[in-house]
Amino acid sequence: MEGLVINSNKSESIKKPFYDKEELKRALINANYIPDDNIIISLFLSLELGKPILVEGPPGTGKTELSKSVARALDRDFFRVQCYEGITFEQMVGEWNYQKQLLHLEMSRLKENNIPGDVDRDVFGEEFFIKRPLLQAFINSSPSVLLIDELDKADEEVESFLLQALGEKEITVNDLGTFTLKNDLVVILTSNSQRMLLDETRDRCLFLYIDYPTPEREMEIVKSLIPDAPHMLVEKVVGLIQRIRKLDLIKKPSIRATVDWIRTLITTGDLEASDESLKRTVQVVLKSEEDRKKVQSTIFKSPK
Amino acid sequence: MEKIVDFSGLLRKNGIPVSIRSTYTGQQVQELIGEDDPYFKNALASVYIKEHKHGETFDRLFDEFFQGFSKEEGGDDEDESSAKSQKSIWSPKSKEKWVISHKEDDSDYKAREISSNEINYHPPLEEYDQTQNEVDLLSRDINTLNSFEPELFGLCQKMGKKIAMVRSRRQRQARIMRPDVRRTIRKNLQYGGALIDLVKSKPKVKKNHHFFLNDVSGSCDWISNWFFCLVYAAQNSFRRVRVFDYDNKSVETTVAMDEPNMMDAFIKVRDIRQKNMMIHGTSNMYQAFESFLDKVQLNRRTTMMILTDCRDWGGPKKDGIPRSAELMEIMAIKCRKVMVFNPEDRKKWDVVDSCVSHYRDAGAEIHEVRNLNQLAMLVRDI
Repeated sequence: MEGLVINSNKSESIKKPFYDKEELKRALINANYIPDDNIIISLFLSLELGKPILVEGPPGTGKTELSKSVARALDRDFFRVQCYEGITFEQMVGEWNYQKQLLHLEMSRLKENNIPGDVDRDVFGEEFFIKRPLLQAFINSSPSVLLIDELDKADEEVESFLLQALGEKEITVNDLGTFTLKNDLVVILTSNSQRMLLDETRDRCLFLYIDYPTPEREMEIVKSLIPDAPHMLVEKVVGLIQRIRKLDLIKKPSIRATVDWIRTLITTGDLEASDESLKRTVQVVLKSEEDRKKVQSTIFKSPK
Repeated sequence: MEKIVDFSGLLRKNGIPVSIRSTYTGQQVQELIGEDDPYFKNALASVYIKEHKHGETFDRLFDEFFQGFSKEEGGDDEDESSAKSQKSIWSPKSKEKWVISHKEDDSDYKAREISSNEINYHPPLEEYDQTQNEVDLLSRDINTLNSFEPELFGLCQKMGKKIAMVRSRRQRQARIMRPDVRRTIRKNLQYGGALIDLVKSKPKVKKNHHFFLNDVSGSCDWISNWFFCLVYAAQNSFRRVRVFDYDNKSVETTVAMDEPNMMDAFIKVRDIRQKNMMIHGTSNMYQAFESFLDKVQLNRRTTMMILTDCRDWGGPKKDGIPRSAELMEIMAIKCRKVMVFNPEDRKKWDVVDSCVSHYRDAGAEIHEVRNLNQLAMLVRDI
């Protein structure tokens, strides 16, 4: 995106926006992501104010995809930290290359004129530190996007450690020093609310809730992902999906499920989407037997 | 600037926690976007709203404040909003529920001593009054926590989260293995004995199962709710959790644990109970334990936690001993550990029809759980 250039001195020109909202919208659409107003404004504020975005919402509504699309739209480097229970500082930031340190010590022993103190200092240099995605994103020389995915799955200690990175834009590594942010970094955190995040984390972020899309937006999303899909087919399937989501299901169908259903219908050659084939293929979007029975009885056998 | 500060204050009064940082960012947004911009509301929402549930309150307050705002009306609006805040579920009191003020050293999580009238003890009247802070709620007699209070849900969730954190740290510590010297020496022989690779011993794979049994008969109905909430919030730190409710039969409620939101999980449990006619039922532990044993397979990796007042009102007896004690013995033999959490005061145990001693003789560990602190500590140490 040529129109979007990094502002090297944002704090002085805070009253004059550098980025243009409409241009951001166009860039995201070109990157195959159909945003709504909330997404645009959150991204705009994140770029202007340098604040991370915390994205919440049901699974399959495009939270992770948003960060990838932002990287594509703004032509930035992309880094990802996938959180899970038990993820540690070492896996996010980096760790000492123990073997390399030992080899270096062994080599220095063979040298005749070594000074012990120098060797100690040597092995705790940057050269011996394996950098993981969070640190890589921080010290990358070109503008980047960092996705910290499913933060709610990580332990609270990890979240506490992230506060420094999110708030003060720096990371401290023991024995090595403090790394400050070297580029115009957009940080996007996602959470499925499996556990409540710390109030401190929320306070440092802009909040964005991505819910299931409106029928119009969902049609646009599907069309951008499957340009060849006939309009009638998309309209019919999206209409059905919207009705299915209103049911009390264990797992509501995601946008991904809508796309999968349309692809299935195209693969089976039923571009007309007859009631019979819709009924036969609806299991693509349903993830449990109980949901399947409920949908079959209320949607496909209803008096309507 | 004043307007944004006033707006922050209004949000706070209505239960949305707003930090100074948010107010400052709100000011930046106002300078950056301007009130006339159609995106202004969305922009302020992304700054001020930190949880999805605050969305509706924010919308209402934004419309009131920015669309009907003028300098003269400002004071009136404030009065009006504060009057409304009295009606709002996000009262000034509830906003403080997110401030963790858990006192570690305040008590040893002991319930209050009862000095007189041992058998006819009833919680004092002041226990039913509205309590102002979390510490009081945590140490309040659990028998008085018998109404729907959003603060308690938040509190249980917070306690559960803390429990999960402590447990996961403990589990992680257990996974840190010591170096295996023999293997390390063998591995490093290829480098001429120089220590290059460190081989650590492998962690033991633990395959524990946890079963939670909740007595939902009239006397334990609400206590079982708080127990469920704690277990729900801490569930990630347990392996293979299964939850059952029982009165004179047992019903599995594990499916509710999958709900992403605790309130939904709570509603689902109540729904399951209602469908199974388990509202204010009478205890028959013999039947309940029998149906439970039919549904599950217990083994030496199983830990069972049973919340009950040990009063088997409707259960059959043989020679004065409740037959449910026989089933308790079977469970104690099959499982690694059976823990009974009793919400009654210790001094009422074994009085009238309480069968604490019978259960203890059957091999169960009996623990007194008379406030949320005691309950949380027991769940933490499982």
